[in-house]
Amino acid sequence: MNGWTGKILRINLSDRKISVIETRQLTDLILLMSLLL
Amino acid sequence: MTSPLTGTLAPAASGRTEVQTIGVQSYPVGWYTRSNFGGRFGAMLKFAGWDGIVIEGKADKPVWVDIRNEKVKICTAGQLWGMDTWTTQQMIWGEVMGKQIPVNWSNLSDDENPKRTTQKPAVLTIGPAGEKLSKVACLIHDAGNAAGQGGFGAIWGSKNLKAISVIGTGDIDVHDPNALIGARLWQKKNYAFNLQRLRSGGTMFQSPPSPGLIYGNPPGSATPQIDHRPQACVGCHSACRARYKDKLGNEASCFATVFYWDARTLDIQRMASDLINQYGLNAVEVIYGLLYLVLLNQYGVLRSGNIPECPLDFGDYGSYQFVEQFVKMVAYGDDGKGNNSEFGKDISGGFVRAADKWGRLEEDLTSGILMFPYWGLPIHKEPRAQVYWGYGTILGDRDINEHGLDWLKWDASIAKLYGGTPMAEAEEVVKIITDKMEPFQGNMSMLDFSDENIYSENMAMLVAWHRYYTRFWKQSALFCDWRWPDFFNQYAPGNIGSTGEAEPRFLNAVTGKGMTFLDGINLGKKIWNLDHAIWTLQGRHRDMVHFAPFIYNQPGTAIDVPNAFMPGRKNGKWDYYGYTNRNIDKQQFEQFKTLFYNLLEWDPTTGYPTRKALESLELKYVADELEKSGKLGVG
Repeated sequence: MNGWTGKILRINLSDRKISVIETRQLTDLILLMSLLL
Repeated sequence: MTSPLTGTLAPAASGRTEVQTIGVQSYPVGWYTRSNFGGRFGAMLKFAGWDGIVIEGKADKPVWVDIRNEKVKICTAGQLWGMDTWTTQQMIWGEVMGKQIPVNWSNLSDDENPKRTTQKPAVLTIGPAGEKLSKVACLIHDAGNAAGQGGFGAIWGSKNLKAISVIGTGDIDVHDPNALIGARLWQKKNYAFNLQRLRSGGTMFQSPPSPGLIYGNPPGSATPQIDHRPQACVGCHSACRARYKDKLGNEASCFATVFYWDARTLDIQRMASDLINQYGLNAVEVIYGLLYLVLLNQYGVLRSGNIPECPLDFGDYGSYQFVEQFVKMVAYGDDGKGNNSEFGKDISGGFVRAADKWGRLEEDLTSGILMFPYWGLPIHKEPRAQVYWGYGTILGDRDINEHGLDWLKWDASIAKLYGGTPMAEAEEVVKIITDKMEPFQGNMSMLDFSDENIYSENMAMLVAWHRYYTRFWKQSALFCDWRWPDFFNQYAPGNIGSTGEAEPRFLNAVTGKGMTFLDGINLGKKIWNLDHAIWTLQGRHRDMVHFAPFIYNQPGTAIDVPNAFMPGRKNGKWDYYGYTNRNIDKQQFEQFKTLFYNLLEWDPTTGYPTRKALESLELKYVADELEKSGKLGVG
């Protein structure tokens, strides 16, 4: 989607793992919030 | 998290960054909460190629995160741990840019394709307060941008995360650059301040660059007479902060400036505002926390009962030494001089928790000397006058801190105080605003703040609309709270501001999505329902949703104006009336809650969301989750 890259940086400090959450469906913060449920 | 607009040309909508977590500041439950902050962090994150960051887990020792475009490293914090927020940022700038500070052109690439920038990294960091897990610790970026409420600083401290630094050299794909530039020029021509015919605007869209200071006692009575230049977030047309020649109070605004209002000099007050930014503390908590201690001392109870020995010398109140010790006590949880102190430890956990431990909570929330009316959080605007502010807060997770209707009170109250004339008649203003409030548009009674109307379904609609608008347009699309919505605008034809047209125009130019204003309101409703479902899982029940006793048993106080004049009707006639001198009726507020829950199709007995409400918002999975936990409402 224009305006966003569709890439969210995911950092796990416990195991120092760095990964990427990729989505082209992200239209608001709802998806991010639902990840935390 | 950024917005699609972050880092673009959208005015007052390009510089904010949203943060969310399970909070630790609210009481008795640390609600799932949010905050956002200005500056250049979000834009730099976008330029580095990232929309947002999710942080999980806990490092085994203090670390900071170094983001340079696509390269991300977790680095040992070393000497950064223990440093204040300003020193931390300076050290990271040096670490990332080497000897290139101040930056000329630098190259972030180590291959043959240069990635050049003149910028320095944007750093978001905690201070000593976060490291020591003070529940009132915040995140700081640059000199004075704070994610203030929620205790985010303690969350980072608990993860051993000192800072995140980001620098990027990329750009942002914009769907229709011509449409975006066209929208910006349209906004500037018709709605922004005009140097040829300046109007006062406060926190309105039309406000000219002017630092949002409320130094002095009473607040707003003193202004530094020091050379300064305006300082704005990325993309903003209307800078609301300043940087000063004498370097005191840089980027400080609003509550950060009114902290220590009894300072002996203005310079001491400015130094005090710097202290809370450097140590990383939530300004409003320490303002009303310090006031609480002052009152306890005045009433002769500070050194009695279950209160541990207080290290502060109130004979020195007003001095710099006093406030420095106080700030260090809250930040470090000690006596402010490096020694153990049970009192310091207590207030570091927040003043409501301290009062509870001291056995004073009920008495002091009844008398009102502990001015924390909801969820253990301090008062901001007067909730007995600006009831939408109080209702929105107690029905939510935090002081809403949303100023979109606050100018209504400011303009009329200041005009009454000094014998001036409000910008427009109450009825005209109410009509302009409510005409824009889809899907409740045209219901002028939503802005009738008379005693008879503040417990009505009209007020439930206002609170609901405000929750929906802010959840999407301000806290997801990230239009800045201090400049949006643009309801009433003295530059515009008919005084009709751009809200409703402008927000989707900018968003669509960037994304190409074709959203309407109402689409955004409906997404806000979805987010608000999801938030409420999370709070329900955390234990929220309608019986918990009530103000502190002093809101019910005492009239309002002069928080920011002597009397809050707002639109209302008497005998059918609109005017501005003073509404500070009233209390909230407890029984009628309970009736209001029922109206509000019914409006949102939540269970009025428990306050739980219903399957019907959630499924209508495509949140079936949330209804299923609530049902499994026995928290799904009936209806």
